[in-house]
Amino acid sequence: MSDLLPFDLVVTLIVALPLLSAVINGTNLLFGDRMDYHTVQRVTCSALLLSFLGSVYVFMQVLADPTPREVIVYRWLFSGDLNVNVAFLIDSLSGIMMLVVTGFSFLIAVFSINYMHKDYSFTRYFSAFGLFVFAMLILVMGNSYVMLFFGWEAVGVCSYLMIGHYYHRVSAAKAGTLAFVMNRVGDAGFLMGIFLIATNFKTVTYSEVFAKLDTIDEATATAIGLSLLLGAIGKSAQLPLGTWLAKAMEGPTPSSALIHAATMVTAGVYMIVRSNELYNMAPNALLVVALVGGMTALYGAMVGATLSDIKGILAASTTTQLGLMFLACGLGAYAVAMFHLVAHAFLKSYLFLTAPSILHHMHTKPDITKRETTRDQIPFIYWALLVGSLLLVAVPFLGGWWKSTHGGGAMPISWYVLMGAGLISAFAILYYSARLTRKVFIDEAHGHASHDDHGHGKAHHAPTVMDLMFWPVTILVMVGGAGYVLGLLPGGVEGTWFQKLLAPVVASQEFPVGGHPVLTYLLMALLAVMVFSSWFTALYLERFKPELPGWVLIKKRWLYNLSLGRFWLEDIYEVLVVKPCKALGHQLDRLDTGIIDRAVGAPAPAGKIRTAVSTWEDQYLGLEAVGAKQSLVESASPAHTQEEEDLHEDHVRASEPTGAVGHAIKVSAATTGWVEEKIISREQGVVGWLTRVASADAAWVEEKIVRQEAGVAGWLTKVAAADAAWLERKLVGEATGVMGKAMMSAADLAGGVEKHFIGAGGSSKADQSLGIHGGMVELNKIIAAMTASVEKAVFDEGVHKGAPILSGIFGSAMFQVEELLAKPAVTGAILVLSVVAAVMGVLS
Amino acid sequence: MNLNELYATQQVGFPMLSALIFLPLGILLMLGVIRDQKMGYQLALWGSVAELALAGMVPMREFSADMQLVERFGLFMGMEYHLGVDGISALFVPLTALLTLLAILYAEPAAKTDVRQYLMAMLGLEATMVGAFVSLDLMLFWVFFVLELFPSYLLITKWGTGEKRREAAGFYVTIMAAGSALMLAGILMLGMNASQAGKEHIFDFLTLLTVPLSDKTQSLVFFMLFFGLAIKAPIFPFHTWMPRVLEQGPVVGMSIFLVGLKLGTYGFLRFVIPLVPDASKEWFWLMALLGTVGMVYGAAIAMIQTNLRRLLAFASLSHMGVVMLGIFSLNFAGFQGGLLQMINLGIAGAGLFFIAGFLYTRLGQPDLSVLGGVERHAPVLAMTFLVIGLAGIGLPGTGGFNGEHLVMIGAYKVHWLMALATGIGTVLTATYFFRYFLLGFLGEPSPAPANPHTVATMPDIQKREMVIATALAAMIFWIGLDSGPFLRTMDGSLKALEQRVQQGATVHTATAPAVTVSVARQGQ
Repeated sequence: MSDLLPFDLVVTLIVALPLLSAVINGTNLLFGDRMDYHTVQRVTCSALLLSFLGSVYVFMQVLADPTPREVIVYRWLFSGDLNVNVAFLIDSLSGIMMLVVTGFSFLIAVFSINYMHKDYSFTRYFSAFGLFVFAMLILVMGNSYVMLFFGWEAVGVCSYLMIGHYYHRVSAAKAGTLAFVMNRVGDAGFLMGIFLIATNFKTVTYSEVFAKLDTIDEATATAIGLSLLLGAIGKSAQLPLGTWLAKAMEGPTPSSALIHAATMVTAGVYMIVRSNELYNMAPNALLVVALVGGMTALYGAMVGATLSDIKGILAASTTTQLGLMFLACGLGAYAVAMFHLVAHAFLKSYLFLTAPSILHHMHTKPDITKRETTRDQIPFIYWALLVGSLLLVAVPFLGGWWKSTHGGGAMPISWYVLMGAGLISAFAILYYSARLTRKVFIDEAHGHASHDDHGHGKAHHAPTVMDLMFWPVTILVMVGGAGYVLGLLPGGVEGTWFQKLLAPVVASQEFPVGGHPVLTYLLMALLAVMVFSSWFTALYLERFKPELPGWVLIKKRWLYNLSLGRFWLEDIYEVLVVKPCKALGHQLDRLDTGIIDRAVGAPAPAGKIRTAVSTWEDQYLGLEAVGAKQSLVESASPAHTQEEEDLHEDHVRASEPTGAVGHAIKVSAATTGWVEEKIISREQGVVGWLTRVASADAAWVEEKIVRQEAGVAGWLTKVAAADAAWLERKLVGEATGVMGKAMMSAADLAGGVEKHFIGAGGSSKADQSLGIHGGMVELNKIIAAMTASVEKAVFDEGVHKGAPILSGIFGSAMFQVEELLAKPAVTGAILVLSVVAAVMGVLS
Repeated sequence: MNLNELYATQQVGFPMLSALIFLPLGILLMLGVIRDQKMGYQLALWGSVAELALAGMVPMREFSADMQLVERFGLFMGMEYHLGVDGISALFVPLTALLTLLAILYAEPAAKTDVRQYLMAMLGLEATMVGAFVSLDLMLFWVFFVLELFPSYLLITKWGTGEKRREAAGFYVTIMAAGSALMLAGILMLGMNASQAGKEHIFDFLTLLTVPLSDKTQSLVFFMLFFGLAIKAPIFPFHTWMPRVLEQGPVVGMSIFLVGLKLGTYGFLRFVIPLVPDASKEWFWLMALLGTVGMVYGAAIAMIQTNLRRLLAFASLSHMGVVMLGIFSLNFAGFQGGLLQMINLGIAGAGLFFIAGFLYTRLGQPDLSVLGGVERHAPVLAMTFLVIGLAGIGLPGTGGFNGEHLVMIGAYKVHWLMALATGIGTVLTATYFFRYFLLGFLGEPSPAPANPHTVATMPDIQKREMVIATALAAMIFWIGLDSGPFLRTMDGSLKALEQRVQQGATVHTATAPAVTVSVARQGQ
């Protein structure tokens, strides 16, 4: 045992060091942030480096002797026969994860030094960073489900802190809250799983649980598997809880790289791989895992295909890749999933770390359709990004996705289907990664008509330090590439080194996936559509019309809007989950609304940013480049510069209606605006007519707002106001400026595309579109009338005849109840009545 | 329920629990004499330090169900002066002492006038609370329970910050009196039953354990005690006094008061469940239901509050729901969770109330109309709020997680619906807490031209406040990261309690072993 002692110590230190760095930095922060930033960064980076070296040592030990071993630190929690230790399980799986976590966190911490050094909350960032690494290590090294949960929750908090790092932006703070609450929903499932485990096995330690697996039946295993899966869905941003990931891009880019790409979001995959023996007992749960993964991959691919902001695309790509990992798990190919996880960590952190440099170059233009730089200006970054994108594409293929060479025997049809889903997703990754690259660097000509107001023609050079920082990352990618070439390939498939390494933890598994035939064919049909769409889009777009995003999808306007709006999942949750939770009474309580709105101003606009299109960070970087940073930081004062005014306008533009009705209105408004855009310079009559309609609407809406209607009306009026304002702005002719800095809303895109048609697309296109004016005007009238009547119907009926939504009733009722109960007489009466009732009840 | 008694004279050589009660009382009296404010403050401060040191010396016997540090001698009419601590009560004594110390530390900024009398009221509150926590005689418990009203009333009316503080205090005292009267009825019923069984010390907890009770009497007693404790706890729908009192009451003094509220749920664990176990088993569903309703209801109302102090009142109601769910799971894990959660929430609730006090001294009222952007201008204050709030949410690493986790295990053993209810509670807590944090602490400071004290000009955390925040955060993390000592201390007593619930109280000694109270009375 004596030779094990240093091992135990090392393992404990690996976990303790990041915590120590967080504590030191946190204490420093607590006592007024007295250390200079050199010390802060040295503390963090050295702790992480030591931790990484320790992980390497531990990994070597694991290589030498793959037997799982446990390191018990102390007893943490116990109740009756249930015992939870603070203890670590070291085997090949956790060894790999430790390497990933400590290695990437060290690199990204080093990167952050340069990225964050102008940030006024440098110390806060690094405290959270150290804390995150600690939590993540607990997550991957813990020897029981409760330890896993500990890490699980703690990384959630760190994620909250990081997303909300720029907390004085309400949208960042809100995005953080959304992520936390969404994760909480998943965690409820996870907790349920833990209780099922605790009650069935009387233990929560992995080794003991897996040893006792034969004591439960398949149904119980399925229940446990599904409960755990819910937690994994939340953490790994799978459907249907995945919407928080896109908003999480509000955080500083290095933290996005670490938390929302390389490590934290893969925790769900880790958990499923860790519990693989449990899942193997429950084929149905595995099927659900596969389906969730497949659907998420498709969803991420479609959303990614329509987005055009760099971090948004990366987030969508992460969603897709995570979906693929889930799919692999669901197919029983755990080792493949693990390999994919590691490779994805390499590639995604690489892509993320190049993003800020690009943003530096493209300052304030996070929308890639608006880029105008050329390849010649930034050759190194161009190649770096290209290589990264290619590797990203290659992973699913190289990572053993093509299993055709492997395994005999007939596979169930759903296996092919799921494989197909993976394939198409991979294709979509190819498509939009390539697009990202070429959009950013190659497209020279298009889209700059709209943003000449900034008057910059050349990309700014990123700071040299930042350029330098690419080398470690590039080396990483090279190492990853070398891994492919050396016998690691194709990772995780049976017989390879990687699979053998994981063998003690992960039993290999034939493809157990079955499924309902109807479901299968449905999925197949969907996939066929997607194949065609993606191919055609890519071919057409990349070859002929690079300025048009999603040509095929945009033909199907509904589909395009759907993808662009991330299938409105967020809005649905906003209505179904977040709103009822958050605001049972919020919107009905006039007092509350009155006070808060007056106090905090109108909190809505910036908080409703749909995509990460133009995160504050991007603008911050941009302004930093033009020296206006300080004024942004202190933007409590009214805007003085043009830059800031644009910014404010952007925030207003980011105000998005929520909910299905809101979207119905918005989409019709978008269509209206799209038509209007074309007519605007030509048909004064229509403009006049529309102006009348819009201003009438606006006045009507304003009246509602002034009167502060509660309930659904109050909420809808905001939507309507946004729409009306939008229309008005279009009509009055501010459209040129607005379009240039447009947020990526459906309305904008529709308008933007049309603009291209007319402006850049050539005369034939323009003629064509002019040719349909007559029809469009009619359509426009109809839609406008419909919009108005829908609004009137909803508001008039809803407000005046009193049909508020359910949560409204509940919330206001509760508030009334409380008002009533708070009367002393009522309380007294209740007391007397209950005493009487109790006595009568007992005596009778 | 087999409880041995270890006498204080044997254990430590002096009546320690009496000392804990009378030390604050003694200082209180001395403060009445000393006119010098500065000296009085020093005296109160060091006195409460001594009290905390003394309370910290209460020996925690691990895995033991014994009553420790027992002192008993007869008073009149069957009433006894009977003190003792066991796993259930032992932790509350140091908790009370700690929070009193912290509140006294902040007394000068909190009480603008009559600091000396303010200190006296605090010490009085402390003495009565410690007394109630260590009483083993029901009548004595009741006396302390009622006595606590006086300092509370004084605190609310004299140092309350609201316009309607007198009204609130009046309401509080009235409804407490009603509750206490009902509780007294329950206690008398128990006493009468005991005296019919020929017992001498008819209100003594240990004696009453040996007296069999019919089902009907049990139910009656259960409800009588329930009303008293439910109003104190408070449990829905008897909570309505609390938002008023917390909103109108003094700034920081209410922090100790929040621990005093734990007397409500403590009473269930200490007296109700062991004395009327069958009725508890019969009515557990009602208690769990009230707990759930209170939890959801409190959280829903908390979500629309703009005033932090009011919000904390409803949060407290919501948290009490979790505790009730744990306690009335009537199994070991549930008891553990409920008790641990009481301690946690005592700390976290008090901590948040301290912060509300800090904000009050800066801004006048911790309301969203003046808050916003605190994080930017006072980052440490905001961070402290976040850390303490996370304990309330039950994040792993804070005490709240361990408590909630155990409550869930306990609840799950009874019915999955109860576990689900607990789970919903945690989600709701996160929602209202983060909402307030978002609106009040993040974002931009709200322009409040009428008020000269704005977030933008306010100072960050001060030295004293730092001590308070650090102490509370340390406690939170201690319980969260190493709950072993706490769980071990309560282990024995709670196991005995679970056994008692299983055995019931209707059957007499033929099957249930008699309590082996040492017959020999305390010598001196």
